[in-house]
Amino acid sequence: MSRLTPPVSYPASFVDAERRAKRIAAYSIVYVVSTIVVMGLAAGNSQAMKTVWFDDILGLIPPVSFLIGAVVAKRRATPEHPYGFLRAPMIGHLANALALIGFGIMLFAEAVTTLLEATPPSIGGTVVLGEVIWGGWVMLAALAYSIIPMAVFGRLKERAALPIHDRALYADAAMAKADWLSGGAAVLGVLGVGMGFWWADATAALVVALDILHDGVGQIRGAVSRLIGAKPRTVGRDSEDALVDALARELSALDWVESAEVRLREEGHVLFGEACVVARDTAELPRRIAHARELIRERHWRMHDLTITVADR
Amino acid sequence: MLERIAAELEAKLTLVCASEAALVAALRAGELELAAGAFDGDSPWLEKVGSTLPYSRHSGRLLLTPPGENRWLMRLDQLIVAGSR
Repeated sequence: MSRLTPPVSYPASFVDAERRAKRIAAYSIVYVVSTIVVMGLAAGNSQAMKTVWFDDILGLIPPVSFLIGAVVAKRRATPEHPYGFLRAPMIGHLANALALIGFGIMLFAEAVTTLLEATPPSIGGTVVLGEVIWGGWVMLAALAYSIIPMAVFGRLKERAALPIHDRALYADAAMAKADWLSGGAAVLGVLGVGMGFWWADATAALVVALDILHDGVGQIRGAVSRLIGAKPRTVGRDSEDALVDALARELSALDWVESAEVRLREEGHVLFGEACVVARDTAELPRRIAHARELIRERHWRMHDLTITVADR
Repeated sequence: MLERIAAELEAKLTLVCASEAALVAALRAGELELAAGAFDGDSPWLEKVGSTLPYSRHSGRLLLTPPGENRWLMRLDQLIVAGSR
């Protein structure tokens, strides 16, 4: 018989926060799809527009993989998957980190090509309601339509990711940030072109691309570390998870325990691991171990699966 | 069309005839201010230089300008739209 990991009993605050996060992700998907449709209708087949289009489709990956990860993680363990599916969000995190790097590379390559070709962009007039106005203004309006909601989504997602310890969503927030930053670079670029600085567009894009690549490398490193079972760290602030030390302290404080060492790893939203305790008193060990496990689970819902082994002194 | 633009700008019109490729190269080198020919919105030259709005509604023909000369391009677009009224 295989022993199956029991389902996680999420506290109400987590369930609420996750529901809210899922809603934000779903709205962002609807929004991005709407921009893809609008661009598709408006753009025809210019190369620049195709690139923007591709960026938008890349931008769909993070919220989708967050939602998939959140749903799959809730599946119960089966004999085939005795540890359950709790790591699904970590796979989502890796996928999103790769999407972020892809976005950064594309932006970087485009900016460098533009600078090397050294062809000043030409933005002429366009007719709006019978008047000739500078085409740059239309572009700025279109950019505002893409930047402002993305900036809002990025901020909301970042805030929503912290209470549910969801790295996929946190990387999604980084992608939204990359999106609106590159839009911001385009705004500076259009204004620069208007004032005669043809290189403004590509230079701003280059700076943003470097920032995105830096962020993307950090995300990939983080995602791979989590998958390989690194020490738990908090999402966002990226400091050591206080639970590791707290656990060792609380176990050591039990009257039958002389000292305790713990080794934990992240399994998506929750933590698994072992504690090795040196027992002062080995009487009634099974009952005491069960009691300690119960105590820990009551205090820290995220410490989902703690194996306690006992060593002689 | 070109004469009308020249008159509006009080400029002297000097015409040069050449192939499309030579015209585009001259625009990029800053030797020409404007090129006219069988250029429309699908022309492969549009990536290399600037282009005005179409001056003829049925043929969709447009004029080419030196790349990055946005003030000049804007002036031409205004003249073209004003002329088509």
